[in-house]
This record gives sequence, C-alpha cells and structure tokens, in this order.
Amino acid sequence: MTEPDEREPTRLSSAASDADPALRAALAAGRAEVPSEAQLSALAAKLGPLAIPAASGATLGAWPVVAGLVAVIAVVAAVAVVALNGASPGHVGTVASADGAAADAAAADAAADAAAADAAAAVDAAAAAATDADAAPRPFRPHAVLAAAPPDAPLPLAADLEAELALLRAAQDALRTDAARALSLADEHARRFADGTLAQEREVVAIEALAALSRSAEARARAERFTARWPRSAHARRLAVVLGDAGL
Amino acid sequence: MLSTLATDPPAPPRFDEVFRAHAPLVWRALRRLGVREADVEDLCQEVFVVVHRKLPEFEGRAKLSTWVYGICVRVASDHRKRAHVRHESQHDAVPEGRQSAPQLNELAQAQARVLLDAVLAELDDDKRAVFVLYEIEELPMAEVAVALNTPLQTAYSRLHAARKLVTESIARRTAGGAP
Repeated sequence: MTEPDEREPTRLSSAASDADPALRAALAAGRAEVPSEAQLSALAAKLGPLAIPAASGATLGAWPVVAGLVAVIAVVAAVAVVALNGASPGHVGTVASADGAAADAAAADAAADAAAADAAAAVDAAAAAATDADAAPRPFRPHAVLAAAPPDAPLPLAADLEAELALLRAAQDALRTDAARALSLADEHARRFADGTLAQEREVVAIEALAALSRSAEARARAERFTARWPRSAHARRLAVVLGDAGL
Repeated sequence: MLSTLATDPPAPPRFDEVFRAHAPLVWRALRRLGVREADVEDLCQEVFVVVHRKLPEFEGRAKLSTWVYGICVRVASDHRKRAHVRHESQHDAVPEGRQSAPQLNELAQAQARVLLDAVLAELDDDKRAVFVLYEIEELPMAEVAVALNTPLQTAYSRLHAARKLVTESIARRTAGGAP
C-alpha cells in the first residue's frame, strides 16, 4: 500500500547495518519470539468464551479449529437475534447441542465439526433474521445482525462483554496485591454475570484468591465444581498448579 | 467518511481470519512493547476483544495489520500505565538449569531477549513504539506513522532518538559488563 520511504534507514537487524552484533542478535531474538501452537490454542480458548456463554471454548482447542471461534460468535449473534425477536427453543437448543458435543471428551474433532455445523445453521438463521431486518447479510457481522437497533446505538452484546471484561480484569489485577478484594470482585462478577462469557476465568480468579487466603477447603470445593462444570477447560492445568502450589 | 461509501467499500474482514493472521504478530509485538510473558495472553485477549468490537468500523484506509498494530500499542501502553506493572521488572528472568545443546541455543535466545527488553525498557512509550514497529515488526515508516496516529516526521524523529538511545545502551551493557 505504501512505497518504502527512501529516507528509511537500514534496519539495525540487517546484515548491512553497522549495528553492534549484540544488538543485531537481540533484535533477531526478539523477532523470533512468536507463540507456540499451545499458546495460540490457549489464547483461542480464552477468546472462545467471549462468544459462547455455557460451552467451554477450550474444548474446541486445536489451533486450526479456531475457525470455530467465529462460528460460536455467530451462534451467539443468532441467539441474540432470537432473544430480540422472541425466544425460540430451537435456537437455544443449537447452542446446547454445540456445548454437549464439545464436552464429549472422546471426539474433539467431531465436536468441532458439530459445533461448526450447528454454527453454520445458526449463521443461516442469523442471515435470515438480518434480511428480515433489512440489513445486508455479511460473513461475520453480529452488529449488522443486531439490526433492530439504530446503527449508532450501543450494542448490547459488546457492552455486556466490556462490562464483564472490565470487572474480570479488575479482579485479576487485584489478585496480585489484595486477594480478598479479588475474591470480592469475582463474587460480584458471579452475581452480575453468573453464566457470563468469562465465567471460567472468573472462577479461576476466585479459586486463586481463596488459595491465597489459605481458605483451602473452599478453594478445593470450588475447583471441583469448576472441573465438573468444564471438564476439559484449558484452565484446568492452571488450577492444578494453583492448588499444587498452595499444597492442596 | 460518507464519501468512501461511493465506491461501495468491501465487507470488513472476518474476525476469525484476522485472528489467525495476526495472533502471532500481536503476541510478539506486545512482548516487545513491554508486556511480561505472564501477562501476554491476557493482553492478547484484550487486543482481540477490541478488534472484535471495532472490526465493523474498519474502513480499509490503513492496512489491516497496521490497524491491528495500532490497537496493540494502545493496549500495551494502557497496561504499562497501570501501577502494578510500573513497579515490577519489565522483563522475565533468564531460565536456568541443565542445558543440553538445543537448550543452550534457547538460553542464548532468551538472554538476547532479556538484553533487548532491558534496553527497550529505557525508552519512553512513544520512542519504544516506533522502534518496535520499525526495527522488529519491520513496518515501513509510513505505516508506523499511521499505526501510531502521528505525523511521519514525528515518527522519524522518534526513531532516530530511539536508535541513538538503544545503541548507547547496548554499548554500555556489552562493553563494561555494567548492570
């Protein structure tokens, strides 16, 4: 898009540069630090819950399956349309079946396929709803799908996510310095967003806070509820570390 | 903005495509912008929440990657301003322990990164952002200026100032073995 500017200096990492070899090596090492597949999968899993309230995004974990991420977002968009237009058990069932399939420990790939297929159906439903609302169907535009709202109105979905994320972030930040406050913020999140899109992350914070406060029995009990609810969560390993460190 | 509608702008890119194409770059850029390894996953999440929210508004006037880098810089800058980050070490400890041959190479890489991050930590946010985007992410200067929403000339000034500081810092650290 932009022509290189002839004023641009030779990059320091370039062999043609007269930069100190130590600096060149440091820049190269910095450039080489990209995340592993596992780290990317964990990130995708973390973003998954942004879009799908009950299911564990982590269960769709394989990195190439990230396509499922947008699919689950589309499911939420479709459900949001349904919610705006009056509830339909069929669509709620769509999410539930994606959840159920994803929770099946034996068939992660099949689960991803099933979720994607369900999502595809939901996208169709969303597109139909969007057309009804006189908005152009786009590949991925929950905002367009939520066309019942005026174009510049705040989006209920995004606003909720932001509120959730802000509260969770505050709880995570507090965890470093004030476990009691972290726990109280996590509990506030649990009250306001019981089945929120970041419910897993909130529970992790709460369990870490309980462990830090030496409330071992509560930490253990809450961790057990966590694994019962999200048996294949990407956070399970972290919880094991937390409880292990706390000698639980 | 209305005038851009005349040419029927293409649909915004899909979120999953943006994520797949940019997640590794976002990760790396955040690290060099001063986000510790322990925090980088959280901050990547934050970047993509913003991307997700703003993608429908993306107008294609900048390259998509430039736009994403701009979000990274803002998220990292906000993160660094939070008090608890400022008082903590900006870089991670060098791993220690038994070293087989491949681990030795990894160790050398890790040490080089620690050096890099220590040097970068001496720059202010503005200079650091220009330096990282040009020298590590290797954006053309015109895109660096767009990502940082700053005049091109300002971006050049910051780059030159940053290069001078980095070069001096490296010389100081490698020559005398000073801390």
